[in-house]
Amino acid sequence: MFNRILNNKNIFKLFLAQLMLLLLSSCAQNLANKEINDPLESMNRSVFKFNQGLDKYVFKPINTEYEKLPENVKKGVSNHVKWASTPVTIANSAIQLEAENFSTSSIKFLLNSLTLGFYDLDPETKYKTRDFGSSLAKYKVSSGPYIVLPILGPRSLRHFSGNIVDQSVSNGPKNHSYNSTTLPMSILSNRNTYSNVIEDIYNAQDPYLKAKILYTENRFNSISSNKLLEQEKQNEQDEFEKLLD
Amino acid sequence: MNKMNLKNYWISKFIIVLSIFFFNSANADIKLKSSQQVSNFLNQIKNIASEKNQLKKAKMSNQLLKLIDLEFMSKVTVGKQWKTVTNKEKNIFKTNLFNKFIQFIDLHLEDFKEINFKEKSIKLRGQKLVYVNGSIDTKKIKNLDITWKLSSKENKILDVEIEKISLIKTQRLEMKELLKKNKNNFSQFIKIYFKN
Repeated sequence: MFNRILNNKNIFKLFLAQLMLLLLSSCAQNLANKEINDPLESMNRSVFKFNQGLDKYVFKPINTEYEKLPENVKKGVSNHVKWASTPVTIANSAIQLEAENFSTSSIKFLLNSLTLGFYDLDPETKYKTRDFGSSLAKYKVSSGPYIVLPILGPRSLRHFSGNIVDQSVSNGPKNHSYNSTTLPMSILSNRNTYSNVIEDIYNAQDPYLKAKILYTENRFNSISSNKLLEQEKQNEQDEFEKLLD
Repeated sequence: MNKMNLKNYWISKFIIVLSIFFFNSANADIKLKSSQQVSNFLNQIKNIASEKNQLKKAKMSNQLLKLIDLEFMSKVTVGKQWKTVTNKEKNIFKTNLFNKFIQFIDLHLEDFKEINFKEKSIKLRGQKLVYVNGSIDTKKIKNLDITWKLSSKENKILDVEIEKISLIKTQRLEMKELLKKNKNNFSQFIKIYFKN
């Protein structure tokens, strides 16, 4: 019986995510505190180095070839990847009680289903990407330690455990088609989109530190409420005005 | 008496309307200047990216110094320690920071050649800041949100925020960690940070 449960990948993933949530809830932290603690730095640095090598010998050469494809094809792949992950945004907008984001993302998902997401039929309409990690942040679960995962790259523990739950939502109980087609496309498309940023990271004095800072800033901006972001802007304005005196 | 009150009433109204008019035209002037400054900056970068003669390129790069507030950027990125640093170290830091910026342009030459900025809005923030919002298209990336932060008085660029990520803020976080690693020894930090 126990073996059967463990053999079921999705249940195991959810169990793993729950275990991580328990770990996270044990250490409360304010969302406004952007500093992610990095107690696993030495291990993270090793994984970062491994990822850097993998990127140099595998992903970068693939990206160089991918770069040669027509702009429309690349745009189509990027659109499809975004479309395929929209159910995660829809579910998490509902969890976060964001009615406008929920309706906008749902309508856009249905509309773009006509092209399987390869062509964006309504490029003017935008919605915020939401994942289970952002839902946990909304309900004040701490971010947990900073971790660097092989291939996937930097995450906070909260973000990673959210990813596991999101994967279960995208996959459905017995549908493995998402992983086999969309995941490689997503890796290719993201590597291409962020190629400039990746180049800047590798050119930094300490690439590990640069990647950590950029991840933290980007994640904070994408999961924070407008009120919190405005507060940040106000603090920055006060600081700038003082320095301009 | 009534006539006098009526006259005072109209005079006060006239003064209010006049001051609103002057205030708005002053604001419009600041906004216009900021918008022009951003355009000048981008045009200059495009020119640098397209120029092949290294000497001309260096001259053009120096022109950028007139458009950005390097002193302010250095103050923000170094933080509190800036006050304790000697003038010589300050100058070395500023020169190297600017060189790093030029190296960044060199690294993305192809992108900068085709950079296009679409202005969406200009907002005054507080008494001393102007934010120019818009989006940029480069060869690789389209519709990237960008905010230029300028000082309203000197009309110089203070910071650039790309997709809500502030360049000087990330620079500051990086330097803070590196300074800590170098036991807050500024001259040692400069040597290590700008060694490339």
